[in-house]
Amino acid sequence: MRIAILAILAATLGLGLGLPVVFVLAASLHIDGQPGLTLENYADVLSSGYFMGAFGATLLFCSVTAAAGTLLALPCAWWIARGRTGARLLRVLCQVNFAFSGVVYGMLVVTLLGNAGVLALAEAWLLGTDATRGYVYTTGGLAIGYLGFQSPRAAILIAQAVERLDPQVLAAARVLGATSRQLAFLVLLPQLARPVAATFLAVATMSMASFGTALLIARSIEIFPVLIFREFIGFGEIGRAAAMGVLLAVCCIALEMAARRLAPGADASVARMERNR
Amino acid sequence: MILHRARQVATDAVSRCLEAVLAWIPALLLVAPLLLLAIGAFSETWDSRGPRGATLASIEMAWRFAGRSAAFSLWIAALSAAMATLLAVPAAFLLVREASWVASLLRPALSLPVVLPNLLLAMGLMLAFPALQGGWLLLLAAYVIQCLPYALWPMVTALMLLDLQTLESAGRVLGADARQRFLWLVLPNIARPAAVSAVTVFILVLAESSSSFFLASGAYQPFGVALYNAFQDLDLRIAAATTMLLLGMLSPAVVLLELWLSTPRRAASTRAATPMRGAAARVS
Amino acid sequence: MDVTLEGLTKRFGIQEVLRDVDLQFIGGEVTALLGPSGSGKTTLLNMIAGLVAPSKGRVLMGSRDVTALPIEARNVGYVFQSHALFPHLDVAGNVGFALRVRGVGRRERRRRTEEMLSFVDLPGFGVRAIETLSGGQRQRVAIARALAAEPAILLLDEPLSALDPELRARLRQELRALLERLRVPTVLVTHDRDDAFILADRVVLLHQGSILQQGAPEKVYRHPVSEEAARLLGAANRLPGNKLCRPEDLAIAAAGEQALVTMQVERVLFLGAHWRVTGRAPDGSPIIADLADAQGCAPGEALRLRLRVSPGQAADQPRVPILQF
Repeated sequence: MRIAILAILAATLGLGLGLPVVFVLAASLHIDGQPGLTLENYADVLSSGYFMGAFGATLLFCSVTAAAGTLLALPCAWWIARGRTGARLLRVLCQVNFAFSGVVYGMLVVTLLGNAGVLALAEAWLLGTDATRGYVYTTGGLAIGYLGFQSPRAAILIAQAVERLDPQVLAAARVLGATSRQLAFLVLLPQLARPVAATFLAVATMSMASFGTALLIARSIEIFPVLIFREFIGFGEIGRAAAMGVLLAVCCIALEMAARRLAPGADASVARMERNR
Repeated sequence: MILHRARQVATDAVSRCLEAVLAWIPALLLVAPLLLLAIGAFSETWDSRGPRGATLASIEMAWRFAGRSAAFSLWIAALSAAMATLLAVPAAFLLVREASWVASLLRPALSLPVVLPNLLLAMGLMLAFPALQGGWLLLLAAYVIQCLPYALWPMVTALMLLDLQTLESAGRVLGADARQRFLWLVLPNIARPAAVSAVTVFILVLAESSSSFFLASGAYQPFGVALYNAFQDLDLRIAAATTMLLLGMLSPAVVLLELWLSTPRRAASTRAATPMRGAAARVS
Repeated sequence: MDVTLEGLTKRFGIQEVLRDVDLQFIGGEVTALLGPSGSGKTTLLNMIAGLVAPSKGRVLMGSRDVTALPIEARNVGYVFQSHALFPHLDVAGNVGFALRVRGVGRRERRRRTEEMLSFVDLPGFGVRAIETLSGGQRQRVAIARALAAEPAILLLDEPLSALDPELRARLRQELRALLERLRVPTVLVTHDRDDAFILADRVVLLHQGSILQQGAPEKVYRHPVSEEAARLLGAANRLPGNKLCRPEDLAIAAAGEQALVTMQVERVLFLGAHWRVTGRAPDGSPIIADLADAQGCAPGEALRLRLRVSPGQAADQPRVPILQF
């Protein structure tokens, strides 16, 4: 019985996961029409100013937004973890984030910042100007879109870390005379440093592989996964797209391993409710 | 003295207000546009002066445009949920029970789909099974593999909390054979986590928008792709209406999941020698 | 029906956890397996249940050799340390489980369940959910569950170890009362001396896999077969002349009386029922004396001690030390 289950699992994973990965690797090492393995695709991509520029820009963009998202999530996480008014509602609102895909978040951001969105309407109503027109299609707009799905995710992760703090440690610090500020900097921050860093990395990884939002509204910045999509589906450049995909995967794996180093154990899987948008 | 106190009270109030605002921004980023989307979907016109009027026309158009996609997505989401759960349950048992090299090989393999970008999987599936391109099998494969870790996780957590070994020993000592132990002891305790797994996968697949783009075709278009097309080609109102359709499809599942996750499971652990202190196993 | 263990030996790899254990458990008697952790007592218990297979030896129920029988077929009652109650079933579901498994009909199951619950003083608790029960109630449900199918023997693994001292003392009495009413042999495992003394009719001392001594609590306490056995059951003082005595056997020697030993007092503690004076003998070995009255004992002083005279003994007949060797 056990053997049967193992066999089915192995077959599923092998066919559904192993085989595709192998094929992508193989494709990245092939040029159409030419026999034999070659690293030309990689050389192509790595030496291209356009692609590497986009990769670097994407990495930078994701890191910055992830950092901002993590910071933004801190008050939210604290609110949830300490059970302040409406904490349950807040937690639920942050959790349902996983039910919305990247495209939906794109739609949400357009509704927020687009020409007929909340911001534009508010501005027109309050100030009568239209300076924020088209903001959603800028890098800033995209960033806010990314923040939209990053901060709830980060908030949930950090809230869990806060909940795992020993309340008696905090009480001990208070009894020893620490003020709120000292408590925050000398006791809380050091204890939360690692989980917060791990959250940042998890969120950054999630953003790197994110796709839908960028597809919808990224105009001023080339997001790497979108480029891969274009190369593969649009231009049929299988080899190059495969090489780019491998590059992206390596980057994600590296970020993930760093995150695991920082916060090993339980939250490894909790962390990643839906990362591909 | 009084001035000092007043100033202190004022700064306290301000900082508390600030904290509240900051804390609720992530939620606001979701709720505010959602509200406007909901209003806009039912409006007659929607331009830079705001949505006006009330009509169901946009919803009707959205349904005509994306109805088939909706039906397909619902169907494939249900199928993926069923398959993923069927795989996850025995896999969870293996992971929790086996201490051997099998488990240590299985565990990283099963969490790989989470690390790997979905588009890599999609590309790989298309390259590995070119004959299946344009069909729905590849979509199903992609969804099941992508969501397997998320189906696995509620099961594994529940099984670990359950202390299977003691449960089994207790059952054996009371005279139950393997079939009786499975039916009466194990199954009742995994029903809820399995349901959570299934609904989680259902939601994830409905909401999916990365592999879907690679693997979609004319005949089989997941809803995420339809939504994107609505945005690109059609009026904002219709795109909003399409989004509302998606939310309508998602809501029952999301509400169900939240209900299940927040109601404490009846003493999920056999390890308690002293009465549990209120807090249920933190499943989220 | 009696349960007999013959030559039970258990080896885990190269480590011998139990060595050639012979024991018999007779109906109506409560036996405590007492020993420090690592003494093999839980392994022994599990071998009776069938949870662990012996490397050598036999387990007999009556005259039947059950060594090769799987757990399900042995019909033993086992109360786990964590109780291991089934969380998804209510109390009645738990208690009636063994009967359900044997195909007993619903009506008969209900009758028997109520009977068992009354026996453990939890009448009408059938519909209660497990998590609403207190620790003591859970234990009783666990016992009721173990007894429902009329097992040949009742086994309890550290029944009181997880509890705090207050609750423990109270539950000990209740458990004693319950176990007294049983007609099957009962075996319990504990590392606590008081548990063993209060609950059991017979104490079996286990140390590093072998039986040091067995017998009624008083006999084992007052007449240990070795210094090891003596120390397993409580503090023991080495006296000049190669004797051992218990702390409560010592009394203060008055001015004219002959002192057995003069100790250098280090600490004087009040324990409610008596004073505990600790210090050192002239040869440096530690001495613990439990005295009814510690007047005049202060740290740093010298205290003259003699053996106490028990009530009923003649004044010139001091208590015999527990061990002379």
